[in-house]
Parts: sequence; structure tokens; C-alpha cells
Amino acid sequence: MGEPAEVAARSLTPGTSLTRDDAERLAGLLRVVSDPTRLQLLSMLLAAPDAEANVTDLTEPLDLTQPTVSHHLRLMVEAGVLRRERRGKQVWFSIVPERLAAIADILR
Amino acid sequence: MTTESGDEPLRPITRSAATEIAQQLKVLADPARLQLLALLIDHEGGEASAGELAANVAQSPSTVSHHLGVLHRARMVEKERRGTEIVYRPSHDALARYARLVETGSPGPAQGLIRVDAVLGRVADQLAARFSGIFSPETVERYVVESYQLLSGRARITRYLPSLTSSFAAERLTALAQAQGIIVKGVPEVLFVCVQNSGRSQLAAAVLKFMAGQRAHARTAGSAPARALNPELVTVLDEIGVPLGAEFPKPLTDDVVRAADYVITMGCGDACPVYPGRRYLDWAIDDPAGRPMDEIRRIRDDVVSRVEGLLAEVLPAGVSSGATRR
Repeated sequence: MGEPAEVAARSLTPGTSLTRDDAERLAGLLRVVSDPTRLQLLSMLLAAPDAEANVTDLTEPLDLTQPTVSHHLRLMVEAGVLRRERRGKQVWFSIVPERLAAIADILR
Repeated sequence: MTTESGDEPLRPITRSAATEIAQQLKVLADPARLQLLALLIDHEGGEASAGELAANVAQSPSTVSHHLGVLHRARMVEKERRGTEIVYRPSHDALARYARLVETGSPGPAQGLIRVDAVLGRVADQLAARFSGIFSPETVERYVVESYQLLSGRARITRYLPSLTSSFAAERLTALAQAQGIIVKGVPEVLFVCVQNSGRSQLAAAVLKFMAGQRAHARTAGSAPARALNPELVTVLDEIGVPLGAEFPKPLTDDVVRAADYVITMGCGDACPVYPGRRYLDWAIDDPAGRPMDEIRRIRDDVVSRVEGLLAEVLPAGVSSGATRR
């Protein structure tokens, strides 16, 4: 291994990379989205008109019940991936804007 | 078929694609692995050894090697032996899908652009040494810059392109040397061209490499390359024991056509230039993009039987193809 610390000082740029705290937070978030159904829901939201949809729209293409879809959506809201907004009688879901670009990359 | 590049996909991903991506994300959902991938992506040389990385994450080199092995199996890092050490670099898939995720936001795009010139200069120097006696440093540099421009025209994340530029330029320079007769082609050269270079052509090349081993060589290109490989490819190839290798979608260039003995086009129309002395075949194979898994398997099997037929023609008599299957 030689002198790893010296090698590192030459070629790595510490400080620009993820800190342990950032990494822990991000890992927690990834544990929530690393599920095929949740990824499908995120992908449907990306493709939806105005990038938002309600539970009924999101349930229709999936072979799942509405309570199951609601459960997945709630977990993603709690993890800070989705935003929910009540307008009249409907609840609309969309991807949190700060997460949009990274999630679009993942779903390429 | 919609192949508009530069737009986000407007069609939701299929269940099978979601399953593939979920598996990769599960591997990535680990703080140590995220930090390692972030370090590799931010690394200005684009690659590092386990020892270098260990010093930056306060972990032992053996723990770091273990995590790098896991990332390698999930196709997020590539590794290469360099003398006595093994260096790791992020895969194309990791750059295309996860670079933005692990970015902390501090190095903005402007800073990335400033770095590009210096990094491309290093890439050109490395390749000039590798091709010394074959091409002048000026030719190599011109190829590196042009290869970078070809790739960056389609990619939004220009900051992460140098390592891809290096492998793309090296492949093109080898093809150019073959076409000019400076490097002798030992074996038949087959070029597979489709539209996105993310599905059909990659399937065909992986199958050919597996079946022919050292007896034939395959290259791939796309008339309108996608940003990332079709995620289901790994699974359908894995099912028949065929590795995909470190591939990425890249544009069609003249040099690889000129270096080819066989040019196989799949759905890319007349985008491929025609030169005398090469055998051109057009395979009517469906695009696997967005198809359910069963159809992708059918496409794979179609590709396998066509490659078998092709190898029977390409390989010299007496060297039978198909024997190496599975």
C-alpha cells in the first residue's frame, strides 16, 4: 500500500466529496426508493402532465390496490422524496424539486 | 420509435427495468459505498486504488476492497490492473445514473468545465504514449478532442466524460490503425450498429465476444446513442451466462466502419456509410427498449441464433461456432 495518506494528498480532493453524514442520509433515502414499485411510481410522476398525479392515476397502470399504492407514496413523502398537496377533494403527489434531477438520472 | 436525445424519458419505465435499477440502488444504499463512489466520481484523474480511497474514508484497505468488489459486481465501478496495483473507476452506468445523486453540490458545472481541458490533456498524453510509433501526438490529440465533442454533444454531464473519452478515442485510434493497415487485424472484425447503441448492438456484440472468444472481434455504435444502457440487458445476458463488459452507448464514426470486415445494421436505416470490400447485413430485430422481459428474452434468443449463423460464415472453416455456448 506504500503511504496511502501521501498518495491521497496528491490526487484526491477531500472536502468536495460526500461527508459521512451526507452519505448516511443519502443511504437512508436510497433504502426507501430501492423498490421496483416505488421506482415505477417515481417514473410515472416524471412522465405525468405537470409532473404530478393523484392516487387514482397512479394506481391504474399498476397491478396493485389503492391502499398499497398509498402506502408506498406515504413512505416516500416521509423520506422527503415526494411532496403531497391537497387541492379540493384530491391529493396530488409530485417529486420534491431538489430531488428531481437526480431521480430523473436514476430512471434513465 | 422515439429516440429524441436530450429529453427526459416521457414513458414510464417497465417493471423489469424498475427491478434492475432497484437492485443497483440497494447495493448503493450503504454510506461507505456511497462515499467511495462519490470519491471516484470526484477524483480528478478519474481512477484510484483501494489504498488511496481508504485514506479518504477512514476505513481499512481490506474493507474498502470489499466494498469496491460489491460495487464492481453491481456494475458501478470498473477495475483494471496497472502494474502491481489495481485501479478503480466509475462505470458509465454509475456516471450516467448516480453522479448527480452523490454530488454534494459544491463543485458546480463551471468548475467542471475548467477542469476538462487539463484532464483531456492528460488523456491525450496517455494515449500518445500508448500509440507511439503508430500515430503522432497531434493525431492522437485531435482524436481525443473530437471524441470528447462527439460524446459531449449528447451528454449533459460533460464533467464526467474524460474517462469515456479515453476509451472511445482509444477504440477509434485502434480502428483507424487497422483500417490503414498499420496494425494487422488478426481476426475478423464485426461492427454492430443500431439506433441507440443501448440494446440490440450491445446484445449482439456481447454474444459474439462470448461465442467467438479470441477468434473474432466486435465493436458497436449507434446512429443516435442513448445516455445509458438498457438496464435489462445485464439480466437477459446473465441468464445465458454472457457478461456485458464495460460498455456504453457511443456514436457511429467512420473509422470503425472502415476497420470492419462485417457491418451488421439493426434498425438504423442508411445512417451507416457504405464502403467497398465490407460485407453489409441488415438484421430486422425489434428494439428491446420499453418491452416486457419475455419479449426482451425473445429478442435475445433471436440475436443469439443470428450471431451463431454469422460466426459460421465469419470464422474459418473447421473452427465451429456454437461449441462454446454456455
